[in-house]
Amino acid sequence: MSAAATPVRDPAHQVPVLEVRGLTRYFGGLAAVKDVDLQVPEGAIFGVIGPNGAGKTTLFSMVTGSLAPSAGRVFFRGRDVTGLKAFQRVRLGITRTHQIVRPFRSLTVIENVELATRYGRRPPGTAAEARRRAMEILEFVGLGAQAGLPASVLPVGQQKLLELARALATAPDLLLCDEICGGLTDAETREVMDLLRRIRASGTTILYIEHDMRAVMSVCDRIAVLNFGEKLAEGSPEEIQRNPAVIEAYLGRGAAGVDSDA
Amino acid sequence: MTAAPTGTRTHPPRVTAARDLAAAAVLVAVLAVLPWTEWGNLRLLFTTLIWTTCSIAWNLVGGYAGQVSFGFAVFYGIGAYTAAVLITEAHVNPYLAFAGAALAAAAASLLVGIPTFRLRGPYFAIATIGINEAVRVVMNNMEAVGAASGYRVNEMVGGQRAPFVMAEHYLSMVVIFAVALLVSILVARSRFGLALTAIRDDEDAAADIGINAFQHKLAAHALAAALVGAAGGAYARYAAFIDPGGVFNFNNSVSILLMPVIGGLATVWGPIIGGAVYGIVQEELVARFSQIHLGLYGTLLILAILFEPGGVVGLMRRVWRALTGRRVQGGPVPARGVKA
Amino acid sequence: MGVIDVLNLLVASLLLAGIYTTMSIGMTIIYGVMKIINLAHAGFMMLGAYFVYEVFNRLGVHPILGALLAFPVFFLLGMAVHWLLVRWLPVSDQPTLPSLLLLFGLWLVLQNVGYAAWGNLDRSIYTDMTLATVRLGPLTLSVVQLVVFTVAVISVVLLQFMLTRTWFGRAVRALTQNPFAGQLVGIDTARMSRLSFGLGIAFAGLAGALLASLYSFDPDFGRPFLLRSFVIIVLGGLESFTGVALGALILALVETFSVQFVPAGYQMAISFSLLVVALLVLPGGVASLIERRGRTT
Ligand SMILES: Nc1ncnc2c1ncn2[C@@H]1O[C@H](COP(=O)(O)OP(=O)(O)O)[C@@H](O)[C@H]1O
Ligand SMILES: [Mg+2]
Repeated sequence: MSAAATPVRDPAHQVPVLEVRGLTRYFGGLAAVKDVDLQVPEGAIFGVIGPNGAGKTTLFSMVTGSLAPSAGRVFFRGRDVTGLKAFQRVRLGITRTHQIVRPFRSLTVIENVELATRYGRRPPGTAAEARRRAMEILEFVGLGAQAGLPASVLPVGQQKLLELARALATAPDLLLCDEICGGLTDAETREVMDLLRRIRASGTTILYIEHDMRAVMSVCDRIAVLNFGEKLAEGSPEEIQRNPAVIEAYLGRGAAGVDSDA
Repeated sequence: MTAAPTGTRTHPPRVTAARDLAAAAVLVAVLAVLPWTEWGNLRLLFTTLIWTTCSIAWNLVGGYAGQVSFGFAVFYGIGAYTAAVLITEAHVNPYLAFAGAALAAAAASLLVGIPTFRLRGPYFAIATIGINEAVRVVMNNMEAVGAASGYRVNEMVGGQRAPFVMAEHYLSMVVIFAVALLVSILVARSRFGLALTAIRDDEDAAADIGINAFQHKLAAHALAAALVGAAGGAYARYAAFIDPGGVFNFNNSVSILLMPVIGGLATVWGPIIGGAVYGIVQEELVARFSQIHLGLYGTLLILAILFEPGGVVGLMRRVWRALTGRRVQGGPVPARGVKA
Repeated sequence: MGVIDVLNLLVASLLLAGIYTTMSIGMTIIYGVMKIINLAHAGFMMLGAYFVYEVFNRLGVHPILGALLAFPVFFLLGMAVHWLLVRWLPVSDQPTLPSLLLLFGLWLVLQNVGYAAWGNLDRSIYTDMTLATVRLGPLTLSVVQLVVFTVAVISVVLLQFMLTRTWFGRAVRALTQNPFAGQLVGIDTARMSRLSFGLGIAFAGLAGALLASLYSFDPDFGRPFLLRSFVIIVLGGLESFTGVALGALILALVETFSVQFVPAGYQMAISFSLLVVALLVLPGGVASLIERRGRTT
């Protein structure tokens, strides 16, 4: 799909980049996500928080199409994409990173990213061009020096960055980041926050799951809180921090710096 | 981690492909001039080239895409019968008949691929075990092509029975082998081949960067089937007689998957080394100890999986690494945890 | 076909479904817990058949008693094979290329062992039971089929009991549903794999031993039954224990009735067509009718 296919945006009728309505997913009897509505405006960094097992990753999987919802619909720029498969949604501009890293282990770091450029939304004309663009993206996330290494030998922190690089390489309009800072040091986390801001500045809308409260509060414009699969609250970071239900369900249990996933 | 030492960088793909193409050209040239020399047993080379072509083809699906098939004899047999019927009944030019054999086999590959590749899970491997037996039994009962008693291939040239020229059979097989080798080299370093590897490593993650796994697996399978079908066609014309118990034999499927595993999965040269080793083993050992060939192949498979999943090529890389003390980088080596 | 014929065929299907369930359930156990397709299943079935053949001929043990003996013997054999080979395979939540190739290699070796030990002649077991029949109203039933059916059903019922009532059974079901949850609640997955592999092989041995009373066999004996097992577990939904019984019944019905219209030579083709049709119209097996799940890609 070419760049020209991006619809002309009319600021008077801002269609949200992503809208989900009544999204629900059952695993056996358990409702991992239950009747969730969301509207993510163009250009936002939109946080999704909630305790472990709240259904955040499941929500992401339904937005990107890797998991079929039990009920509800997903709209991308007003278009119903619920029936599309994951690879088709990538070509429309929806991409994700994985909480548990999933590099292509037999490929090198740069091959991972190159492949994503060539199957993404704006495939380059030549292999050389793909390689050049992949290298640019690797340098952008700070993996330039590791380009030639097999992806399997990277430490987990760098594999998370590779997830980000690979997702970026598909030229997404909507990027879903699932806990890319888990296992990073504070300094590295700040660098990733900076990356996210720069990605947004280049026109990509970001949906962002993270456990590190400070990171989420510092970078997000708007935050939705999930608890037991349901949307508990939504608002600006200040509103969320003040919301009694959120404090009760989430912040209240382990004070401010809630533990990240084991 | 600090910056990678330059020695660990891969060669840019075009350099590797160029080197492989050069080596392939030399190999094919040597094979092509053999009939005019005193060396080489053309019949043995002819059969080895057939096996090696099948080995290369299996590697596209089983090695790169990680989809294990136990049923490649089906494509071999369909190719053989298609070419045989085209030559005998329709008097088609043998080379066109080989192309027809390739097409028929590719079409047949869709029959297994479409229902199974759509799904996640082991369905493809399961179905391939069944199809081999099912097709053989159907062919055993198909009166139109002689059923179990087989089919005689009759090639006519200008109202006369075509004379048997071993060199021509052999050279036709060199051409088919060369095509298979070229396809393999091009796939290994192309976008398509990388995507197959990605699918093998993690199909979900591949879908998440825009790869249509179903379509890719189907295409790799069809490409492989076409190559095997052409080889089957060349065999039918050479043997002048085929029967279901021969071409559709389950043991052929076993041999075809054994060669790339032994030689080295997901590499360009592994399946060729495997094919050559197999050709010799088949000739020297199996002819003499036919009662142990199943056990021998089974043991080889088990040993390879447990001790050297990279096959001969993996072993050579390991030895090279030990000798030079350097890390050697080549094509993607299948990890032990490769997804099927 | 008259009503009586149809009734006879229905009963024959049911009897067949019993042994088909026993035959396939071992694959389901192993797949459920380890996500390994046991391609050596057919080899162990063949060994099971020769096991009763030997204890019958050498020791005079009745083949049905021999089949019961086969169960513990093959359980131990399965655990030994697991210890020797299978435990080295990478753990995965789906079948891996090494696991397929390793067990396939094992099948080839077992087949060769069969040829080396017993040659390629057809063998069969003949007892007083073999040709005996009983009349039940308008129906004529083969005694040996009835007995085999009874043993098969008892084995499956006992398995079901064990799966629902014992600690081991609950662990098997937990791992079948979610391989990672098992580790979280402290299940010893290595031990579980060993025991489940043993159990799966025990069922393969039992099924082969029972089939030996019904059909003649040679070292390649298991292969047509392996395909049937595949059809059954695909019909059943790969991981569902109740699905297996339903799948077995469907296959038995299709086979029994199709014999009336299709030459016997095409039996394998019928099985295979059923496999393809099942994949096309019911990709998750009959179990998916009860619950739909999985990725859309
Ligand atoms: N594939 C699955 N099968 C069964 N249960 C699942 C699966 N994926 C997630 N779950 C369950 O759904 C719930 C939500 O999980 P998840 O979306 O991963 O939560 P989060 O990302 O917020 O930590 C959890 O209870 C989890 O155990
Ligand atoms: Mg999560």
